[in-house]
Amino acid sequence: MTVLSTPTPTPACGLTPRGGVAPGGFTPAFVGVCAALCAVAGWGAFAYSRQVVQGLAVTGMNDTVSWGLYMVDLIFLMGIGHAGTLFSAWARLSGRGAGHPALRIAEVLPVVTVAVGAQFAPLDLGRPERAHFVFLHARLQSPIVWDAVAINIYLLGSVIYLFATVLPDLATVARAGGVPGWKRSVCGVLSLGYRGTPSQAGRLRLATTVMAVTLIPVSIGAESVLALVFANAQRPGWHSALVAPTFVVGACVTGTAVILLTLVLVRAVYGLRAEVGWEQVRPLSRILAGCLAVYGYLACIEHVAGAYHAGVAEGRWSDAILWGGYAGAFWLTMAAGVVVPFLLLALPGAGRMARAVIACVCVVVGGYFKRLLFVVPALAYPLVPGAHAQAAYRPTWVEWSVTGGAFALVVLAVMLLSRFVPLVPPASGREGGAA
Amino acid sequence: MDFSRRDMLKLAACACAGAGLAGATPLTVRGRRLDGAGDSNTDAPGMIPAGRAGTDAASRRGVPGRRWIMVIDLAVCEGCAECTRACSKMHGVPQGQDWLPVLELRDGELAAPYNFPKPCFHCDNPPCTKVCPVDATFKRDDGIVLIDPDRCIGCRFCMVACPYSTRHFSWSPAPPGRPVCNGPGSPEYSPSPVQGTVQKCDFCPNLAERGVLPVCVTSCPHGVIYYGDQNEDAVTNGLGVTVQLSRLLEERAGSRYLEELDTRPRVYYLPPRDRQFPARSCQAHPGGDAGHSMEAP
Repeated sequence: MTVLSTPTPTPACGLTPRGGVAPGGFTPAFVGVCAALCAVAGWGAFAYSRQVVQGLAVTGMNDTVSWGLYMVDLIFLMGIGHAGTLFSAWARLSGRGAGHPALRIAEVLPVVTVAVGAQFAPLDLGRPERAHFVFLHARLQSPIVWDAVAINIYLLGSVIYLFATVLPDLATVARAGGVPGWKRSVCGVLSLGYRGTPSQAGRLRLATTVMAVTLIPVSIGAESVLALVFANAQRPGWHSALVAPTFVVGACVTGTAVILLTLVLVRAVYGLRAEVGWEQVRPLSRILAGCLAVYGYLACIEHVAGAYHAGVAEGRWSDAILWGGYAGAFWLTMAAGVVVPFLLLALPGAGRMARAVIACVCVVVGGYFKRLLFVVPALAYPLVPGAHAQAAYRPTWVEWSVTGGAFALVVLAVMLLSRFVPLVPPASGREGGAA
Repeated sequence: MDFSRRDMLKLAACACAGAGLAGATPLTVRGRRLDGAGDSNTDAPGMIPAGRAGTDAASRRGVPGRRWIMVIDLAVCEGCAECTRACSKMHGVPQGQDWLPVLELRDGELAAPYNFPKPCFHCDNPPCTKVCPVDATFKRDDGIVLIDPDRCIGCRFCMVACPYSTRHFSWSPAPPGRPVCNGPGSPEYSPSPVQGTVQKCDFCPNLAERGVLPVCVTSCPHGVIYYGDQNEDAVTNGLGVTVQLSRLLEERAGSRYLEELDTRPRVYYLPPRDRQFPARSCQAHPGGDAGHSMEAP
């Protein structure tokens, strides 16, 4: 049963009878979308070149709000990856989601989002050419050092995990008919001689299980360490034990929404209405609803406690968010990014798929602004107000362009990967890690 | 010029023995001028002794046997910001990034506002050095917290961690009207901020080592700021008054700002009791604006 080469008729792309899951070719539409994404990424690169030449002065950051959009991007992109890891590990280890069509997406996303998201750390530096000092002159007291180590371990683990899970599919592509020769040789080299013999499959299954078990604490740890960068500073809204749990749950929220959206998008593009139905989307939607409830709960606790503040700075921060300058953005984010999507997912009735998609879009956009509202107000209300001349933070075109470029890069990378490994794996390749 | 400031202060202490809390000690002032680095500092930043640039280990260790300390007498601060201007000029600080701003604080609704010069507190339990990932900002044995501009990667974590908003970042390559400084710099002195790194008040370690008072101390027309060595138990202000540190803090009820943060600053404040000047209006400060007041009057 674990042997790959089950007798399958091989039409055009030749992986499953239904064919829709195959890594397709470079059609004009595909190339066109890639070109557009390249243009956006290129524009982001151009914006970053302005930053390199003119310094961080081209951003909206200042001495008061000294971290901004780049830090938000880092948290946001890292979070998407964590959710993918946790979903995949849970599905494979529990066996309940062993054949779930979103597994591959959940395993690809961490590699891509963490690889791109981690770039925001050196990108945010005043001296990016000294980024390697973090390892060369590492001081173990600094959460940034923990972060650099944790993110790299997590990225490495995610790459190994993804590789272990795609190995059977690479082997299949390498031997499939109707696939261009160069692609077959690339996949042949990458598949490392995997043939799906029982002993190979057994070892691969063990490796996948070990990686899944390992990645759960690594993923939660990396997210928590990222949270400690903020929680270890004496800032209102940051110096709280709630920050790390909020980061982990927030990652599950936005990440699960991105997985669900990607799955629905792949379904639409490849016409996988038979493989991906509500039955397959429902677990994701339920996980998302559950995480959203916890996320909302944590936000309530955070801000109710903040309103009964422990000091003048926390009071100013809380007032600004609940009733002051940030109140409009805060309440809109809480309503449209947490409450409304939760209701869309949780209420019974017709149109569940459409409602889930709308909810996910709300969650992703809301999640971004929730993180912006985490980073900026805490800096805008320092303990000693007026110590710095500037205070207001407004992201500039450079920051938005670099952000847009990074997101384009994420989509582009996922699309290119989909040409080599099917985003929705064929049935015969699924047992690799199924317990 | 072997006649160090320590010797000066010892001499002064002998001369003033039993003379009371505040004895005038012209020797100290003369010592400062004899060092050839008095007021001319503020006119020619390039002429300032560059500390021990290059001798990284020495500049990270500090001056042996010293515990530099500062006392600021809020009762006599006029809020004229002469200290701010002199400091910014000497360190080549761009406008709006003064290392020593004079804030206007008010401790309560019914309390009167007062002027509050705010340098780096050079905390003995500094939150900034703990979070630095590359050991670019560090605490020396002589109490001073410095930043190595050749090490700093510009992550700005220290700015986020400092509860007093003491630190500034060099956002643009060339601050308007300032020379570009891309290093190599010294933790002890740079003629102007190094691009892409963090700066702050450095307690003028290159001057202190030579027995010269910091420029903020000497520029103050009212002798608000005292500077000295905790080990010697003596501090001196810009009027040349050297006093016993422990007695000054005891008799004038010296305290540290936001003691509850457990940062243990090396800057003490004497309360604005019987003050000689009203709080300055906010606009008197060159880089200042309405944001310089803690609570709107």
